[in-house]
Amino acid sequence: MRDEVKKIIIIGILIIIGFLLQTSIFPFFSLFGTVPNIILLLVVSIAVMNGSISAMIVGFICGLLIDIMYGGVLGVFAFFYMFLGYVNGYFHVLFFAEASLLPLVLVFINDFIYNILVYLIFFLPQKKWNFFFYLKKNILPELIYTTVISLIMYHIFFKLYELAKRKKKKRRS
Amino acid sequence: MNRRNNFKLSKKICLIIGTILCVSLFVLSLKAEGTVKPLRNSVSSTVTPVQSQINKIGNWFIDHISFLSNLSNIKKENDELRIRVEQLDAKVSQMEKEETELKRLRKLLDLSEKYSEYPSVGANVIGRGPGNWFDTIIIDKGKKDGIEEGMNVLSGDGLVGIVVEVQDRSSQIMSIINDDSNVSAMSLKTSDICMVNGNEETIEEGYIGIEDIDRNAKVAQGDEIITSNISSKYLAGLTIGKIKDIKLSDSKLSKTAKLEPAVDFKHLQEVLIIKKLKSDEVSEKKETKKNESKTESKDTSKEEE
Repeated sequence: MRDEVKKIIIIGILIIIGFLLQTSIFPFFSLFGTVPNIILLLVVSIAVMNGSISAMIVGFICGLLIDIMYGGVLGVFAFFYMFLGYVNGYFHVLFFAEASLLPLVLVFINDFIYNILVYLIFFLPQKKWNFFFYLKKNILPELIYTTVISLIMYHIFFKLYELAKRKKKKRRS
Repeated sequence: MNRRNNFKLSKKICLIIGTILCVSLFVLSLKAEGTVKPLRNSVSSTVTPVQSQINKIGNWFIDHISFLSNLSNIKKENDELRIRVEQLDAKVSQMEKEETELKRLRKLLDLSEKYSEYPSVGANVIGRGPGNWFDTIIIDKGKKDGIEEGMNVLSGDGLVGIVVEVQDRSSQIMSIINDDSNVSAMSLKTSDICMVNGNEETIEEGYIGIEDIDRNAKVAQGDEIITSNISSKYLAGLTIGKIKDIKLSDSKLSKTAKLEPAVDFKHLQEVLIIKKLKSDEVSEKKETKKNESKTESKDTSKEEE
């Protein structure tokens, strides 16, 4: 029971960190006018480290926060990120400790799909046909930046996750 | 084996529950915006203070880093600035004289209501939307600071946009470069009415679009574009930008042009919100006219007595 509580606390902390990094810290470090997609990175990291369910919870809450703070309609981004968490949870089986190649590749693929979906859902219906403009302005820079940042951020998330685990083991012994 | 099956099942149940939650939230916020409003308010009033603190720290660091890297230039700049201050002081005193004259002349022309005299409040930009796709501006003043929907937002050089959503301690601004933004405007010199349309694609090259300029209008390159007095949302006489590349439109019925905004939207830190709504102004004017006519009639009646 205590372990469960600890897990919830750690996940809560990760949500707060992820959301604040995304909305107010990384805007100071924007490159080529873009901000990395930290929330996607967080959801993918948790999915790989801890499986679908926690990733879905994190994705749902972070997405909902973004919907509440910035979006018009609730539930859209919540579903987006939750579904990402669900799908990526299937790669939990491939998870071997600190090897960061898997999350790197996953973040790249996911961010690409995510951005294409955002274009298809929000921009195509507004008759914005100029896909290559958005590819150049938003998608490619974000993709590169997010993937590079994921090298660092994944390790930070991983250390936090390890911390929770280690404490658990001490309790047990 | 059994355990694993259970685990997979619960994963899927989680997904189904989450999806139902998302869909119901989606429908709820579409059908009944009123029930969602308190939720938005409470979340933004807990998150906004944290964001604005982080913003302050970030800005402090940026300021100090640029300060340290410029230290060698600062002494030189200081000397130059001292001379400039003296020059400007002289200019100010001259301007003050001219201003009193200007005020007098404006009163004669019934133009005393210029936007410099509107009550306004400053605010910090604390957010630029969650990612790279949606260009909304979030500021750290809200309902509790007297901000209302529809108030005009300025930056030092000109019009930024309009307040579209207000929470207790923060508000969202739709900028004039937003795709959904249309501003009724006119040229300062010739008073030709036109429409300024936001365009997030072309702003990357530094301009947005102007449409519906009369084909016989005599606007020229470099003319200043200001908000028009027929706009229902924007107060009259706010600077928007400068006109560029005027062309006859495809239909040949009107002219189109490019507009360089006066505001640097990429580096927006502080904005000024005018605490006066255009709709109020219109109704106020009507009232004052009524009152004037009333007092006049009273006066005349008194005189008659």
